[in-house]
Amino acid sequence: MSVNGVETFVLLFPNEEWSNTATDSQLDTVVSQLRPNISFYDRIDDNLTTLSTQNADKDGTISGFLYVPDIDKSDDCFELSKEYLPSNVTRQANLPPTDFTLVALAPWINAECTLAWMRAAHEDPARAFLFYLPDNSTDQPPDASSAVWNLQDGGTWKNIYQYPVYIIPGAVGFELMHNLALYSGNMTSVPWGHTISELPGIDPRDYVRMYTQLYVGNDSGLPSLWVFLLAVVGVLLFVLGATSATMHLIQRARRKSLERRVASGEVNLEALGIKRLTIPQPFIERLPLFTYSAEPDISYPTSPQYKAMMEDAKDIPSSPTTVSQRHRSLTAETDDPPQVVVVDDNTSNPDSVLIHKFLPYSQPTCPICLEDYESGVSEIRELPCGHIFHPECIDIFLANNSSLCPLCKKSAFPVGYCPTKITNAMVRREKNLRRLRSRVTLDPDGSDLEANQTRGRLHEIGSSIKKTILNRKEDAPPIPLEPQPVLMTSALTELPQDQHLHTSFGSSRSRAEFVEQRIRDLTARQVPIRDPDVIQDRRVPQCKLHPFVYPNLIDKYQGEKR
Amino acid sequence: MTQKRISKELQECLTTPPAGIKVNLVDEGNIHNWNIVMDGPADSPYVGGKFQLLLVLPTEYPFKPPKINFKTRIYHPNVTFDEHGSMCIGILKSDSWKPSSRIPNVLTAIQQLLLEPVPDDAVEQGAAQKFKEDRKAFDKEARDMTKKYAK
Repeated sequence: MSVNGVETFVLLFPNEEWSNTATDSQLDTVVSQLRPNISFYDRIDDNLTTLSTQNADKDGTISGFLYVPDIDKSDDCFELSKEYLPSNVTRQANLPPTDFTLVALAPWINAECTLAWMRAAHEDPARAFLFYLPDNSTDQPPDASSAVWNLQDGGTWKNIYQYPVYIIPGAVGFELMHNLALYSGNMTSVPWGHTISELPGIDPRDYVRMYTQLYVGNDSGLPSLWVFLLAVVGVLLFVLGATSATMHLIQRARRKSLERRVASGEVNLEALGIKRLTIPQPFIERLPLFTYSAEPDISYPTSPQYKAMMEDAKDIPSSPTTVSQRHRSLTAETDDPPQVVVVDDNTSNPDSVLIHKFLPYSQPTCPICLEDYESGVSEIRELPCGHIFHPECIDIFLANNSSLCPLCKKSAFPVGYCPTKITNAMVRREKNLRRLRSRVTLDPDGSDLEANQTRGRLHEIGSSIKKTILNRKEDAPPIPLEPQPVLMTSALTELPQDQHLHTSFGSSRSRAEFVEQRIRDLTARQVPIRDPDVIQDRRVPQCKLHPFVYPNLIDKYQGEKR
Repeated sequence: MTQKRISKELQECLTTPPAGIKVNLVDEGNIHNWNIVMDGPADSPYVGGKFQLLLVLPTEYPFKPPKINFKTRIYHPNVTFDEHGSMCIGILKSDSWKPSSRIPNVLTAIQQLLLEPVPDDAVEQGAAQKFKEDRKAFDKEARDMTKKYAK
């Protein structure tokens, strides 16, 4: 409700004394604004200050004849104001006697005189008061909160004087005051008086006076406190929005990335214990079905490793002779562990694919119902890892229990398919597990504090157990400690797959060493798949030790971490 | 399939049971409940004891792991020292259980647990504490309890 503009012009106003038409409604038609070329005209839109908005319309104009209120002659300000005012300035006495609205104009000399003038205007039908500092400045007057406008009464004047008070620049006020003196007398004394009096229909007794219109509105904006608050809230909202958007984008990118890795088979959500999955029926039906054949096609090349595999593959666990045979060969192999590793290594062994192709048909027993397959009769379903089962056994399992191969815990989902909607929680857990695993591998010296603690504790137990085991070992038959690679690759037996069984047979190593070695093995095998060819080769079995045969170990490390 | 698999495993366990383990059915008409008698392994404080266990095979077997409890009281960090005799063993946890695991594996794993307790996964905190801090006292206590309950 501040003032946006002050427009001052000169009105020609008929003198009631001679005009009988001077009723209020008719006056409007008679009163006319003089053209600027023969009268004073001024409009200012800038550098205005609003002191009080009492009774000002929210939007609109305040208008009235410009005049200077009369201060009581006994007041000190009466004498003081003479210095600032021309003697013949327009007073209320110089205006038409009709009850017209007025706009007061006065210099702001000091607080006392301002109050005196406001008091005087209060008695007149003044609609507004314009003050100016007598400094002849064209700049913006000081802000409303400035000490210049302090009237020493704590602001009660705003309630007493029920009209708005505005400040105009000093130079403008001075010019208005100057013209107010020029337009106070009769027509012949005003500027262009003779020109005006010669206009048609003009009576020389008519009044020619300055008239002011104040344009009031909200355009100058909200009070600064609100603006500040709005700005703060706006900035906060923006920051929040930006943060939220960034977070969502990052999370989305991470979800997409995990989804890609899940689809490529690099990450197995179920094996990590993140989400239990089952395979939808259509996918199960798409897994290949074969008729079991006991006689392998012998057209494959025969490397020594391949022969070993063949021999191993032909072993039937339930047969006592072959079991002992296998034990013999294993005992022999453990004498030379590096060779075993080479045999086991799928990636470095070009024969591994061929071996795999042969393998499924060499699994003689369904691991679920423990029935032997009948050559040429039994239908078998092959999972992507190469393990075979009766369809009636494995289908129920995949549909109701788990998406992982019951033997090697490898996913049976096709490559390029993400079986579930990835959530942020999954991303977090997968990340934590990955970090945990990388930390254990990267600190083989045991510099990692938590792992070290576990190891230390395990070592205590280990060393005490070691004696017992070492003693035992002398009379126990030497069963190899790490026969797993060959056994697992053969995909024939699942005997010593569990952690407890691993440590069971006369281990000469401490538990701590075992754990360390095992974790390192696990992580070494979880090499991220990047090469698309390698991804294509997902059908190639990795039926050796799967990391998640040992979830307990991982759990243990997680527990330590917490 | 469940019935077929269980009977196959039962036959195997009856004919060639793992060393130190005897298997029979609790009730002839029900192949889901097995009674196990396990000898305390040599070189363990449980030597000389005969421990009764109850093995319950769920109807979803082998897709769900079997449940196994000590019926004989045993002083062991991983077995609760009460009438339930519940135990904490990795192979029987549902996330690590695999349909290809067999009952003899489970029983051998339990024997191994008697031989080598895992105090970090303890369910019987007092026993675990003693096992870690004073192995001799633990062994003595375990021997005494074996004499008391597992004869």
